[in-house]
Amino acid sequence: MICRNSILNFKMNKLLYYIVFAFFVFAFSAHAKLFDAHEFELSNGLKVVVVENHKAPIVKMMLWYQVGAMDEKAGKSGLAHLLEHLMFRGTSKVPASAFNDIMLKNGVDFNAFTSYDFTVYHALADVSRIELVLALEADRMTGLKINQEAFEGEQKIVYQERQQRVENNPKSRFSEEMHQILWKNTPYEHPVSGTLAEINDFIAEDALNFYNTFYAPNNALLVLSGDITMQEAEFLAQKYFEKIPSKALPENRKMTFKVEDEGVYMVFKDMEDVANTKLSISYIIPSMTENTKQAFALSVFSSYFGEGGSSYLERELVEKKKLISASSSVDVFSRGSGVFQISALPFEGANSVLSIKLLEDSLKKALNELTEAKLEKEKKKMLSGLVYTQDNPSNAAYLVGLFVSLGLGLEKLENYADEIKAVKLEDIKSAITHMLEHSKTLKTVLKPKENANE
Amino acid sequence: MNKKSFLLVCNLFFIALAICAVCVFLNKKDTFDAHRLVQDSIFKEKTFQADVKEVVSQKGIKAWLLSEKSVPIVALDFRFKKSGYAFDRQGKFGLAMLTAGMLEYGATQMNNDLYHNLLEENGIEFGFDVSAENFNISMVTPTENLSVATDLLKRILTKPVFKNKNLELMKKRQSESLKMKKESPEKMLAEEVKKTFYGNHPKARDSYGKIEDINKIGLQDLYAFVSKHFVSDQLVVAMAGDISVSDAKFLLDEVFGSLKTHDDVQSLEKPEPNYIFEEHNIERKMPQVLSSFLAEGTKRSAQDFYALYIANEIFGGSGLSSRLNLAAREKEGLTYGAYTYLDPQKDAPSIRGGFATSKQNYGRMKEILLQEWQKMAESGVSAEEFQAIKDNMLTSFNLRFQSISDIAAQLLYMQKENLGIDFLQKRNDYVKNVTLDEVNAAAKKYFKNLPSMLTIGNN
Repeated sequence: MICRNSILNFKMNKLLYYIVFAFFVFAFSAHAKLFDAHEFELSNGLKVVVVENHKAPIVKMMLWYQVGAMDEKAGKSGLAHLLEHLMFRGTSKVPASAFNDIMLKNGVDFNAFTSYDFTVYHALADVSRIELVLALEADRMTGLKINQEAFEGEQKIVYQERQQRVENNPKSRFSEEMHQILWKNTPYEHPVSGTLAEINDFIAEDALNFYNTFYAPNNALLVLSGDITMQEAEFLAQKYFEKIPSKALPENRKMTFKVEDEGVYMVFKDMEDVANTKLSISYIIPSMTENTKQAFALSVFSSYFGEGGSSYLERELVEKKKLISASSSVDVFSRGSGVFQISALPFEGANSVLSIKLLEDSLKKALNELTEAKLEKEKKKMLSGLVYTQDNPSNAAYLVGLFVSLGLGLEKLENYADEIKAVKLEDIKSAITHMLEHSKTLKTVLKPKENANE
Repeated sequence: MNKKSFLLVCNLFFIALAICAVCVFLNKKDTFDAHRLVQDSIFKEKTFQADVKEVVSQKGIKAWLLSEKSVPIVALDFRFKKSGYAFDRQGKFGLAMLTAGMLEYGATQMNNDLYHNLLEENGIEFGFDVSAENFNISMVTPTENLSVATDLLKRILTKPVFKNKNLELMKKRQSESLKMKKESPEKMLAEEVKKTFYGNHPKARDSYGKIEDINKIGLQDLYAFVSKHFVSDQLVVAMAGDISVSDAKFLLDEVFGSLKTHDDVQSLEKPEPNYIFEEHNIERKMPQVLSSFLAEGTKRSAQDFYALYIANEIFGGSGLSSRLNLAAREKEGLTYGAYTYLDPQKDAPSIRGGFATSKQNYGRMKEILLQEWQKMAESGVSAEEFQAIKDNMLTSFNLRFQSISDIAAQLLYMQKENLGIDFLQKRNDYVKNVTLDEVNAAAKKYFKNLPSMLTIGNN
């Protein structure tokens, strides 16, 4: 009896909550921003975004430099990444490994990453240490010193990193080769790590030139996410970054690019130490920076087609035992073009070409079967978990960084729900039709080597 | 000395003094004073108010709860003890993992599509995983969908419906996952370490089991697993987020109230861990050698746990600033990184570590590892190193509260290790109370024997 009462109470509370919530949404939906973040710019051009989250006394700092592997000159791939490493090897004020030592003593969890589009330095710190983190970050925006010994050391280290991440594993080697075919003759062609020959050929001056050219407040975005207010962030940003002069960035700089190739390619490969056959189809598609509307439409389609347990692929191909697993994904947050990718694991002995055909046919069928009702359902699924992004300050900082660095603007992120809701069935139909007819396409089959020495 | 030259000297003296002052001033401006920056920061130290409560439901189900209402989500983390892959019986190796896979894929009356639609439309996420000893389940949901999540979870735990066609698929997937381990040198090495360390003990097994055993598993095995292992006396629960004590109690009874009380599962035999073994290699064509090494360590509840923890951080646990990385990575560029950590489990505590390096570097890399290891035993750590790690541990305390799921996981860990419900209040004192002598005693004791090593690709 008591139990039943409490169920009722529970439900009543929920009901009340729904109503209140519904009212709220109804009344304010136009202003229901995802983060309600603040944005400002210093006089030297440094953009700053603050996402308040006062749950725990910690702050995530991310400094996004708008420079990555796509900005490297021919024969110099790996330079952006090597420079990222050197940024931990000393400035005139904070020499040698003092940076790492200070971070250690102050309990800061810090790292950096380099992609084709950006170089990002990040730190998660106790709020009492965030001022220190900002002072250090400002210091290395201008004061980098490259010591020859450290330079040579980092050349070796980035090569070890490349071997560990790519060369040791057959699947990663294959992915790298396929990436090169897909992005041939574009700024995304060469590996972010660089090749051994390129890494060995660098001299310290290369890294310093790259630094002097691209590391400037007017080429960066500072994101502060956590237990910090707009006023505090503004005070600290001014205190440490305002005095850094802006730079004239290269005028003919390629901020983005288009893939002209509309060809369809197919690669079969067998490799040692591969356990089973793996299939993939990649299509080059417009990214958020190229065509936001199409990129959102393609994201919604991928979610419906191949993401999660209730996707079209799961229902029509996996549950019906035509494939062991199948999924899709989109990568649209880039300065250049984006990718729509389908991956699958066929049953042993299945014909690879037919399996690829099956995936392609499914894509068309899924598109034909997509109705307004299914689309609305899919959008609801995409938005149901949005609240989680408000929980972890690191996730918020990452999302803000992507949207603002790519020039999509904070508004696009704040109104993410509206952007998804605005996707129409005909947007999806035309985006996918265009993709199937005009996109550069790469189909791959990776198989185990038959007579491997095992 | 005449008056004129006296004045000149005086002037020169003052000029020199002025130059000195300017130099001192400039110098001061030119050095980076981290300590001063922290002292003068506009932010003062704050501590996350971790008010962990034990809640007990009407039916006697216990959980640790941290109510945190800033974001409208609720995380529930729980485990059934004595239910991991080490408890799979002979001939059914892989059953625990397969059960986890089946639950994840959907084990209700609904068809899979409907089930996953319901989860996704409500933003509900379930996770099922097994370790050697435990069956771990996590749930996170927006508060507004808590009742839907609770209802689904209850059905999964108490009235799961396993379907044959799902079973066939999940068996296939698990077998493929098992085969795919050979694609990753890291995973192959990790399995070899387990086998070498645990010998014949069940913890040596592969979590995915054996292909021939997986093929033999039937629906009745899954039902038997659930009824045998999902029992309330092996249950440990943690909750965090936007939920009140009374709603938490209600949830506990709803989800776990009808579970059977007792299991009849035998405890595992005590392992006889193999700390000292000959170095051996797994042959494989690859450009690098991966190494994994280990030595005897101390358990979480031991007196010297924090002392060894600090010693290990100094040695190889603290990333770029550790001795191992300073010597091998920063100074010689031999590796992208070397690391060590403590595995402080009760019956087989160890210090673990690993690195990856090109074949031609392996000899030198190993030499550095062993030299640094020996140095720990012989001369211990310096007062500066000791203080740096202590400061690190104290100032990074709040970072563990980043997300609601992190907090729930932390509360579950505290229960697993018997740290006490007030652990989060006491933890910084535990760290502060460690002395340099204790750290050096731990270094001397645990770094006395050189680590045992395994490699892959060293051929």
